[in-house]
Amino acid sequence: MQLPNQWIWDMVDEFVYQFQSYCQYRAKLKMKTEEELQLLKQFDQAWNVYGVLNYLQALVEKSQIVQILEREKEGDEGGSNVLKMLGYYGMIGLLRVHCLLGDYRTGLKCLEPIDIAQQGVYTIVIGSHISTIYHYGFANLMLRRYVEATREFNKILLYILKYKQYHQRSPQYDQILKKNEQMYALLAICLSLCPQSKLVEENVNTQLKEKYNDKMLKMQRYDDEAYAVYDELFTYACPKFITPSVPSLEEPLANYNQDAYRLQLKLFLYEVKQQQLLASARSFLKLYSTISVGKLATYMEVDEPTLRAILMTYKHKMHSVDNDGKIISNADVDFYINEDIIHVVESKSAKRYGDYFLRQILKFEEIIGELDRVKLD
Amino acid sequence: MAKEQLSYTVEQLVAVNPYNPDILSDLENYVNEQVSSQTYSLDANLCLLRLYQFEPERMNIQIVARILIKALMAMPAPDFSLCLFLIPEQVQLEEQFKTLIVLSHYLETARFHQFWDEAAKNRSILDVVPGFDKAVQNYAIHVLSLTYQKVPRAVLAEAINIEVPSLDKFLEYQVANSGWALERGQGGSQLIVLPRNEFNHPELKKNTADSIPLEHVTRIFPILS
Repeated sequence: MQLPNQWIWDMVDEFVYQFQSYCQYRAKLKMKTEEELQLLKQFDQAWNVYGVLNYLQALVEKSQIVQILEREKEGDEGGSNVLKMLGYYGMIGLLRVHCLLGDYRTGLKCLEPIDIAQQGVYTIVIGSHISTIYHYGFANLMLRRYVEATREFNKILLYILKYKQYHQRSPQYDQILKKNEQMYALLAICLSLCPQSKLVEENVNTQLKEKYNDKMLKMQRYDDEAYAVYDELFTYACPKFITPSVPSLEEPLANYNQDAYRLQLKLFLYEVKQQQLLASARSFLKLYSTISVGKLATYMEVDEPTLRAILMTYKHKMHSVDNDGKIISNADVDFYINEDIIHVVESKSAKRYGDYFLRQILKFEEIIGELDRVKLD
Repeated sequence: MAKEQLSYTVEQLVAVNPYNPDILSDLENYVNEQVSSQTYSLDANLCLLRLYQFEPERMNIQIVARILIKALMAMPAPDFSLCLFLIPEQVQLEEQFKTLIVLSHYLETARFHQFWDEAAKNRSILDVVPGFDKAVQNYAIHVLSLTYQKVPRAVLAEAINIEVPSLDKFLEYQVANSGWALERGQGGSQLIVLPRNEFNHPELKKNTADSIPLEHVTRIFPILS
């Protein structure tokens, strides 16, 4: 049997959406009527979180999608698409559910069989493409892997910019625009915590500046107003977090639909707070090739031990740890200290000629192929 | 040998039943096993926190505390936050968790002096997990070697919380085993030369911009043939 990928995506997408909405609905206990409460009590296993996760997991396992993807790397394809695609989208569904639960590492693990760096099946249906990258980027942001998040947000935002006109009539057009806006907000957050101007395409950057220039300037400042902006953008752009457990319907009823969101926001703002002084250190470091610890401390109006702590924090926060425990540098401005002297090294951008040529060779080959197919009468 | 056998089984259990409430007690035992054998499995622990998240009434506070201490010991990895993301705010307000959150904050912001002060006041919580101090010292050394080529002796001593005379023994050991070297600084004070890496010697950083991964090149193989 063959079904359009769009339908299969919609099934999985809707399944997760219904679960998410039900959890949100259940959490607003205050407004419930007697009858609703009775029903909730009677059907306390409705949309049980174990069920949801196990269904998605079953799709992934029964479809043997992980093995299929392994085989396809060696160029083997064919057969019915239905089970295979259900399994494929099941992995994306799992990523999404885990993000809703705040379990970012497990979410990314579920997506691992899909190579995000390459065009793949997940990009065929635009809803799936956007959902994948939105959740992937968000999870990476929460894991402090800012460069990875920035890179993928940039790619998808460029893609939406180019192709959104073709989706204007699609029933999902509003959803596309909404996620587009949310991802600009997330990109603004990533770049404020970890400037990576080289990774952002000109067109995306123009859009970003148009939308968030003022806010990004504020976020650099790290005062109360800056926190307010981080808070606002996070709140606007984060997934609709859920509390998966069955509520107790006995006690005085209270709404808890905001609990999960508030926890994630609070922890995110902790992180922002820990990085409080890094932007100012960065802007000073940019001005010097060498400077003594004492002098920089005076400029930043802190004592020497504090400055040493700030500089170490900078190093710690600008280096992420990947799943294998490897340390990866995300720093745009780097430095090292020799006793009391800070030596600054600004990373220079080298043009990536190799990739450029590879792409052009492929394009050229395609054109030649097309020309060959043109039959001249 | 027997221990390895067990850990293998629990890891397998998690891989096959990531969403099965029946493995909860196995996972709890495994946390204790990690504490006593000084091993660590983030994925198993996240799986347990997930089950607690689904069924909060089954949560065991002591186990959660052990998971969090283990996660602190895994720095610089962000494991501590990953665990907090899954623990309800209500639970995080418990006294011992508040302490751990403060400790994590000091480590995340490299304020080692405050960290060791605070840790000293809370030995009863931390001593449950053997190897804690050593793990934090390793993290401190990691951050120092990202930052410094040559670090003043006093800065190092404060970060790892080792005082004379143990400090000299410690340095001797590192010189013999980890490629450290000792030097005299300008003021006559001692400097420790930390091993070279691409982070404290940025010129060693491989210029990835110039290299193309093989799988990208494979895309043009059909054309080349």
